[in-house]
Amino acid sequence: MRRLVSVVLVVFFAFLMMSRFLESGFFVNELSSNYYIFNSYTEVGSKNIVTGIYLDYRLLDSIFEAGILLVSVAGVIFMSKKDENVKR
Amino acid sequence: MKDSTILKSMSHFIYPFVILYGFYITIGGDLTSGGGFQGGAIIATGLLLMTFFSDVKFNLTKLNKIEKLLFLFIITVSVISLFTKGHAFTNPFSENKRIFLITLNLALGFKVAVGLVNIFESFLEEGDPF
Amino acid sequence: MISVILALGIFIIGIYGVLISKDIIKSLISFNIMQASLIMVYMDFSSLDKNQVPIYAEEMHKMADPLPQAMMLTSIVISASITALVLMMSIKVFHYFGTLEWEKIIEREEL
Repeated sequence: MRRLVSVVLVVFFAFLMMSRFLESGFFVNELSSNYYIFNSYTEVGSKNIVTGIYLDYRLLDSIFEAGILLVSVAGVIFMSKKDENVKR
Repeated sequence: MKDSTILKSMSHFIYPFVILYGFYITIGGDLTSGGGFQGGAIIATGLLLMTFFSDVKFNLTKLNKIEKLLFLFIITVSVISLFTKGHAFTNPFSENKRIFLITLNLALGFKVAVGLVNIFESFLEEGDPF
Repeated sequence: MISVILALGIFIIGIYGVLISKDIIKSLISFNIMQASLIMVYMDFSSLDKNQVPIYAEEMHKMADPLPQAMMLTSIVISASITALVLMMSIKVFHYFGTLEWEKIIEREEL
């Protein structure tokens, strides 16, 4: 019973996700990629454009990602201490 | 669980090359593919191979201090562009622009490597019954 | 076109694994499978017709889109660190409840 309900839910979800492509096709807008490709070497100074994006245009995202690493390491170390043990 | 001779001898032979490769990918991050996060994962792999063949124990409090200081260093280097260019979080130099990129790449690479070694050592220490 | 259908298939496998599994660790690995399929969809849409590596060269008219590649770097690091945190939590659940299955944990918590 549980497997039948889950299969029906999953097929319905797949149909919802594919309905965006079946109506209007595969197209992407090219405005932002053109700006990054043509203006990155003179403004940032790096030949690798991906490095220019995550070190100059979007540096705040990289800082917060380093913050996520710090907090998750803190959580792992906190939960691995063994002072007062289990109740049983 | 008995020790395996093949693992010990091969990791003794190969760990300097892995660390050297990690440094090459981290530092050359603005000329070719690579960068901070990718090179940091490779350096972490090279450092963890060292725990297989010897009794090198990483001190967890020292690694924690290094990681916190590196995070503050990254934020400080990013904010100094508020004084030269007007808005924060961008490249503050106008001539030799590669110094900023290489510094940030090295700092991010070390931070990621130290964080991953921290996680691995915590898992090993938690499962130790003594 | 084909890789979008493939990514959808992998996503369906991931969701099916989360709904059916009886352990904690199996549902965690199914989450990682779903994450991998989403990364594949973004990578496919960044290079539909253009195949050149985004490094500064002389002619730059067929370069792939560099922005989704930078976003997926961040996403991979976040997924790895969250997986490590949840694995440590499941070790603590095992020490406290004595078992790792969903239904038995729910039963024992109501007692």
